[in-house]
Amino acid sequence: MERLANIDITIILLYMAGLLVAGYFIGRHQKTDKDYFLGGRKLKWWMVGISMVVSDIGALELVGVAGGAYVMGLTIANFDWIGCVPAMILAAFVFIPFYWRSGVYTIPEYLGRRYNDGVRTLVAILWGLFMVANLGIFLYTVGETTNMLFGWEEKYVKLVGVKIYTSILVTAFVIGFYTFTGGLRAVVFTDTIQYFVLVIGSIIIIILGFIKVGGIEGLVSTVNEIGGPDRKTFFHLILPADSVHPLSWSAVLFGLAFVLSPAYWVGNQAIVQRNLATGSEREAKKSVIFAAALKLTIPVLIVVPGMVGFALFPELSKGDDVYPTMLRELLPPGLAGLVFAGFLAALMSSVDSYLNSASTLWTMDIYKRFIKKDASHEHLFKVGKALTAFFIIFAIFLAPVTAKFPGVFSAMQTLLAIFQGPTFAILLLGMIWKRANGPGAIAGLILGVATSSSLFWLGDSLFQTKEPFLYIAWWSFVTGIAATVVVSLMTPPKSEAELKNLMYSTKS
Amino acid sequence: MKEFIASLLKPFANLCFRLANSVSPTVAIVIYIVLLAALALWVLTLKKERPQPAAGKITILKDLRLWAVLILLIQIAIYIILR
Repeated sequence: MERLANIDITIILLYMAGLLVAGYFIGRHQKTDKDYFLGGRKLKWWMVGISMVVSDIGALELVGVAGGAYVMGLTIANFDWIGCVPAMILAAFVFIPFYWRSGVYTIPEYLGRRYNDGVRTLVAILWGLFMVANLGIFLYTVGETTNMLFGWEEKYVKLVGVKIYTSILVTAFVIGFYTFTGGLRAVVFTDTIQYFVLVIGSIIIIILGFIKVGGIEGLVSTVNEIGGPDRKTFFHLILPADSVHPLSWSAVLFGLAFVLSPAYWVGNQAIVQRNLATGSEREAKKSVIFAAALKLTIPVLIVVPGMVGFALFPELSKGDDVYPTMLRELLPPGLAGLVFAGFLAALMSSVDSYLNSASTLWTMDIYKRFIKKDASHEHLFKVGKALTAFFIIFAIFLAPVTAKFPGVFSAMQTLLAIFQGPTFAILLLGMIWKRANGPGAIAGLILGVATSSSLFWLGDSLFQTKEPFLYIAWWSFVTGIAATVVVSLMTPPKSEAELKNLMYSTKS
Repeated sequence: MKEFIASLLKPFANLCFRLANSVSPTVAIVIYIVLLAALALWVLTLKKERPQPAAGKITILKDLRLWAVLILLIQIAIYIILR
């Protein structure tokens, strides 16, 4: 099948119209910042759990992990298994209850209470800039994929002299509308629908893929036959340290399981914000544990299609094309519309999450703190909505810039690896070590970021693997811990009263 | 400058690589499983939650610790089977 048939396009447009209607109805009664940013703290735990998982899948995982499975095989599943599950269990029992109980809206807000305002501002600016920049990249990914699926490459408009694809405008309008009108509640609600559409779509793809390749036996024999030396370990979950692929056992354990994964599940505003929107501390815990259970199934839905995709389409120029190619080539008209909708849904879920969280961060940690300290809840609600609208428009203009710099996407992921390790270091020490203080945390952040930046700069001359981001995350975390400990010991500690309810050992 | 800094760090980098490379994938699996099992044991040592007025008594099915342990046991089984 070359392009989508009319019936498929109709299904997708109906699906998008449904999202618009849902956003409108959900947002009708919202009045305050708590309603808008935390869903009034009334969201159901199972919806929040689903939303966490589908936002994590998003544009990156669906395209990148399926592409990784195409190139590396089963080992990419480590990203969802040991690279998620243990950190989520830890988050559920150690971090999330504290965030929830302290009534904060953002992670920087928690760090400000635990350390000082300098730490809060530094982390807020780092995350705030990162999220806004990522919006443009996500939107570009969505637009490019939609172009490919709909055949809209030639359709674009010029806004203030900038050529913007129609696909980007359409998706930005849909996401922007339901996030603008409905806030976090709309994001979580639409994510829940998107998860089910995605699961159904992936199951259909897997079944059709396995039928075509001849089942598991056919997959194994085809890969062994055509895989070549790079795919000798295609069906292995654990790779030796001298593997040609970046996911050796040591990189996965130290960089992913010990640093990037917990940093993501306890320190990423776009993920944690929805846990804070549940009705109680127990509900918040339940949402994370439920999300961990769902995570066990994600490799089946995403990694397996990528592996089957290699057996069916071994000539693709890049692995990231495998999922869209399978959608396009395997599905009959009618069914294709449903599965395409699921694919777009997953891509859109990361945009809506980052949009809502960027608006929350800039409203609560920048606007409220530096511009209008005495702002009412109603005023902050209006500011949050205005920022949501501003960010989606900004992302529309940022998306074409991304297209001009193919390396931007990987650069942003590199940036994430640069500051996630040190951020997790100060979060962890802040939670478990009373002696950690503000000056120590600032030193840990700065030295940790300096370490990861230096190691990226040294790159090839130091590491055996071509993509050493997991090792770099580990060493920046270690430096962040060491610097925080040393400087904290050299400066005055915080009093017991100041730490009450902010640490694991001082909980009430 | 870059070469100079890299030459200073290279011996340590090589040592780390040699250590990691001396561990076979089979031993690595054991390390993974031990860590997952240790996490499951830690979860079991946590205090049982106090029942909330609305939630009623915390029965075994409502005990979040057991669900967490079950998830970790499934994770362990996956690593044993698929390694």
